Amino acid sequence: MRITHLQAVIWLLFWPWLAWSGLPEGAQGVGENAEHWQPDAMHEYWDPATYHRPETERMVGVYTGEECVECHAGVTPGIVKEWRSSRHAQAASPVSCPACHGGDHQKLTFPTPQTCGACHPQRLAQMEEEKKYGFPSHALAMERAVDSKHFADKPKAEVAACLQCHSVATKCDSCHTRHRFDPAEARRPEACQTCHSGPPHPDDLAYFSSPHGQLYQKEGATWDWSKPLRKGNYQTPTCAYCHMKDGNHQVADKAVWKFGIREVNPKTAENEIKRKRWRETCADCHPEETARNFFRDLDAERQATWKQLYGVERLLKSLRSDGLLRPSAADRPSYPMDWLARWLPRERIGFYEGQASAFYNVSAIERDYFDLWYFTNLGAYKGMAHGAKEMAHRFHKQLDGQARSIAQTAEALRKTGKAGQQIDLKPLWLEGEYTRFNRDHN
Amino acid sequence: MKRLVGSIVIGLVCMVGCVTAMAVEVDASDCLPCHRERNPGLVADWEKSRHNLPDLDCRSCHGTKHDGTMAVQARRNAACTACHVQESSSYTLSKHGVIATLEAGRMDFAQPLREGNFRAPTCAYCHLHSGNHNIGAEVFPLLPREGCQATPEDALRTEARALPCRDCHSPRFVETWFLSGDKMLEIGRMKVREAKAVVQQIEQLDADSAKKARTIQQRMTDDHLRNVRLGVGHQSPDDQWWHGHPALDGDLLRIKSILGGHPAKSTEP
Repeated sequence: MRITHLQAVIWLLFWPWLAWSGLPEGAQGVGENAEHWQPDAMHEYWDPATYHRPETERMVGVYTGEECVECHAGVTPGIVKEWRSSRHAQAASPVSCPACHGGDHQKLTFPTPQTCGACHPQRLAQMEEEKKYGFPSHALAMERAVDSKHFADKPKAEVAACLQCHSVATKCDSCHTRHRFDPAEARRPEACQTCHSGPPHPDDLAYFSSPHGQLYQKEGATWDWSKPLRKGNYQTPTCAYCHMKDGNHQVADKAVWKFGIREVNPKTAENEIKRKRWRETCADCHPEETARNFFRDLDAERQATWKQLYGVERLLKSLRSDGLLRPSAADRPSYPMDWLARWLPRERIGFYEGQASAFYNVSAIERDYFDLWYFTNLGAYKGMAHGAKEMAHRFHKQLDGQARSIAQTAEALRKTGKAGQQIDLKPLWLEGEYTRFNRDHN
Repeated sequence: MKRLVGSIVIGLVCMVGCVTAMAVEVDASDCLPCHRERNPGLVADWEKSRHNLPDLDCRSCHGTKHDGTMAVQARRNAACTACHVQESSSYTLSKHGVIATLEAGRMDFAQPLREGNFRAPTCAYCHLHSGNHNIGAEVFPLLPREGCQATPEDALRTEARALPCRDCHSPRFVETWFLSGDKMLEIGRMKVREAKAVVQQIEQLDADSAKKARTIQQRMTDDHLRNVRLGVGHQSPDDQWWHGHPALDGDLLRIKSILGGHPAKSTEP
């Protein structure tokens, strides 16, 4: 076989290209952008089914439950005490360590929902069923995290925090903390609080400041939490009472306005069915008319807020059309997986253009809109949806103020116009210690 | 007559009560002379701790009633949260904090702070593990405060580091958590340093813009970066993320925008 010059050149160029592309080594991620990122070491604890490496350095041997407990009572006494007080330990034939972790110390595993589902199939099936309702969802939370552009782009140690909450999809101890796994604990609102708090989902603030939450805070500590989440068992609903009625581990079949970052039509046939489910839940304590009025008010609040948000969004889009967003998308770092954006750079404004990932490396006015849309808007929504009217009112006032301030900034940008655009912003936005590090560490 | 006897009895009861209360009320100067002899190690540990401050003494955490409940009282989170408000919010949101809230009524605070005696670690469980009164001696080197880096002596302690965590968690988990957390915190510091470099450029331009930029940069250090550190230390995802990194991102780009949109800068060729 004769090798032509062209073949030789291609062969010689192939290796530098392979080294440059970095594909074979870097590809350890999962999901849509798998080839663009490598996991942080903590990832094995948040998604054990995908990333857990068994411990092979310490112990050798296959052990029974009693042997595990005997040794671990000295090594990690806390978890043994925990397990001893659990129903797993007190059952006629105890569910002990090897049932969930395996017995071979060189091949230990962390339990996944499938592990728990072996004995709790109904709960697993309910959780799996949630997937058909789409995002947001507990069951799809891990995909939501790792498929986000900002997750793939940012250094993995920085976004490790995301996984702590989004691991609700990949293990059960987010709500049923190990090693007691007590349903009574998961029924209480605090069990949801670690993840359902903070600027984009202040569910804790909303619930605790609502009349329901106020009553819980006053009396909840004295109630018998071993009772199922059913009519008549509790004086006031908790998060799980409404969202996981009768302990249903599928939490999505009533969600109408969902996360709150895009407008929905509450009157679709599907949403009408969901609303009926809501009214049935409220009917445990309230007349149907009260629930109807409550949701009418919520829809009205949401629709008015969306009108306002679209107004601000239009303002930003008009600045974009006139080339007044500085730095422009071409002057900023691009996502590693976004080859199209490198050729046709465009600022992302609003939900449908992917602004949920565009909260960094953008111009100040875009970030101001992000804060208004992703934080303040959601504060108003969560307040309204949980019956915390005062909170909703407070966030609306804040929203008005922020919208005014964005309008003023836009005005100022228009005044300065293109006159102030002679300098090259690239060095400022593409260089810098963190910016460089971010570019090199996906 | 009945009324007279009644009031005498009530009077006596009140008097006894008052006298007993006085007997157990302690004064600041009362504790040390006695406890230096009875628990010399404990007092020595406290003396080298960061709690050895002019306006703090034993009563700040243990209360003033010398009636056998002093240790129990200081083990409860309430003993710490009055002063440590921001720290307590990151802890309360964590899974440890949630369990501690839910189990507060059922945890036996008479037990010593070790061997996983509590369903979830409380403030004192980690920061005064095994009753070590040198506050945070075991957990401090894990994530030193800004401008307060770990000394080589601290580094030597890495073998013993995170002892409180190990009462429940595997050494590998603890090590991975804090290594990853160190990196997360360092990335936060990178954002602050990048911002500082931009602020220095703004300072060349005009005083008003410089003041504005410095205020934002101060917020990055004092609030957002601190939240990342507390979020890592207390395992609160919200403080690491929403109150931490995206908040740092927002302020970094705001500082850059001050420079990028500055009129003096814009007129450059």
